[in-house]
Amino acid sequence: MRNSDDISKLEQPDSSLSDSSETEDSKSEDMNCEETKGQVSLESIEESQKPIFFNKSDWATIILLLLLAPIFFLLGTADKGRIIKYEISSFGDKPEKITIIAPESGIYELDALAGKFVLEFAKDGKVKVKSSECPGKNCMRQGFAGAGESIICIPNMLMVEPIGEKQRAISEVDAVTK
Amino acid sequence: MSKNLLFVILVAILLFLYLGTFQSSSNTPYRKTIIAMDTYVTTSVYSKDPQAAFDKVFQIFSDVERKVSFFEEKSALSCLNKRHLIKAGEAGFETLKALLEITLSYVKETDGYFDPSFAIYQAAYGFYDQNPRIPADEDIKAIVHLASFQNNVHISEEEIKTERGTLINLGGIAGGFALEECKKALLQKGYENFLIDDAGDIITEGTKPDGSLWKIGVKDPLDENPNSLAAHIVLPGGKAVSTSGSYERFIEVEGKKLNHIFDPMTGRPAESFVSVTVIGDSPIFVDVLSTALFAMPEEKAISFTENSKIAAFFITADGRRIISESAKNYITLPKRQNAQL
Repeated sequence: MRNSDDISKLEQPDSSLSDSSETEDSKSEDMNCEETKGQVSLESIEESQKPIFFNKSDWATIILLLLLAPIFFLLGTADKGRIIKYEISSFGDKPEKITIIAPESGIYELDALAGKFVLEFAKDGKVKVKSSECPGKNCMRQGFAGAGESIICIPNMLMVEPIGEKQRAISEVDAVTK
Repeated sequence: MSKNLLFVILVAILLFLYLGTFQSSSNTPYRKTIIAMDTYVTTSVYSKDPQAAFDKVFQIFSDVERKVSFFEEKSALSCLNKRHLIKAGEAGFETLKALLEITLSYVKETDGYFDPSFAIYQAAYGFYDQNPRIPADEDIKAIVHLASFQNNVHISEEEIKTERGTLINLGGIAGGFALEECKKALLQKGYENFLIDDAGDIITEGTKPDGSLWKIGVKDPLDENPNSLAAHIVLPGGKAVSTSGSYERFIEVEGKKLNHIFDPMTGRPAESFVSVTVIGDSPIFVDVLSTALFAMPEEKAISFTENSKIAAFFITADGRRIISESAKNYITLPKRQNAQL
């Protein structure tokens, strides 16, 4: 329910901005109120100023990243260890997950929804989008992502996640006998 | 791409991601790690009041450590090793007596392959004095008579006596004993779903919140990656797993790694396996049996395992992986590894 409330505020940016009582209400019961306000103001800027450097998919990515912030916060800043693999998830019509075992370094190319999508792996295991034929190229501006981080490309409907070895140990088994 | 379509996709993604976080937060156990008996003990509890469980586990491990730790100078066991005599009424007598009685039954059950008096061999190799060395054959011969629990430890209601020179280290059973106590205490307190990991000796109880079974990895000592797993074990509640390995506790002499588990037939470190994992109902049983099987020559270990229907997983020194008949229900090997039996 909370999610749909947030979304409905997105649709009516002016009402929630002007109505201070509603903002207070949401502050008391909703930990995500700050992010919500953030998106609303961004959306309203788009309506009024229409900056030329950002198109709709850029805004969608920015909003998505803002909404992802608490998730990253929950995941914590704990040491995730050396990067051992990458998970590339597609959240389009046919959700798919590809796992790539960490290469030494180099380039990985795949055909995505909006054309060619090229990943570059650094020596330390971090990954960035080297080039993408998507319209906004926002994914390219996200730079290198390390273990526990992710790169999202909305037009391609792709999420790239480097997985650290400590993350893997936790997620795959409940304990290790040794 | 129309604005509406983009919006619908965005909503769908957000819902998916948020539901995902809620799901994972309710499925995440409360975990706490403490240091006890020179190792890490991690308790995972799926319950509303995890703190009381953590406190209980900590209390039990501290208590067992205080009474029967080999390294704790004031423990009842250390007193016994020094004075060779402990009388009823002295601190820790009851716990030590109970543990030594359990030990005696396992020494008999394992044909003497599990024997805490092998500490005398460890001492001869310099495990306890930072001076690792390989003793000569006559040095080993001179202490063979001390490496026998049955001959050298005398337990009665009034006192525990050991023969002069005897050294007892209960490290191979005290962890299992503490886990058994934790299991009893937590069940009695009403906890139904938990996992306690005492540095790789693990007990499970109940299931995870989604009803799924517990997944345990077996460390692969032959892989350089410290997180590499040699096998996966899927366990229902009420089970225990323990692994004895040559890679966790060892000394190095002239570039050779010597492990802490000794073969009673030779008085030398056992060399058949690099890792032996045992699955069973009792944490004491699996703790003891993994050590005993590790100490045996391969042929003896395999026949002992099959005759007693023990669920065990062996990694031999030359890298073969062997799953016993009874363990086949629990263990799967990752990748393309072949296993015997």
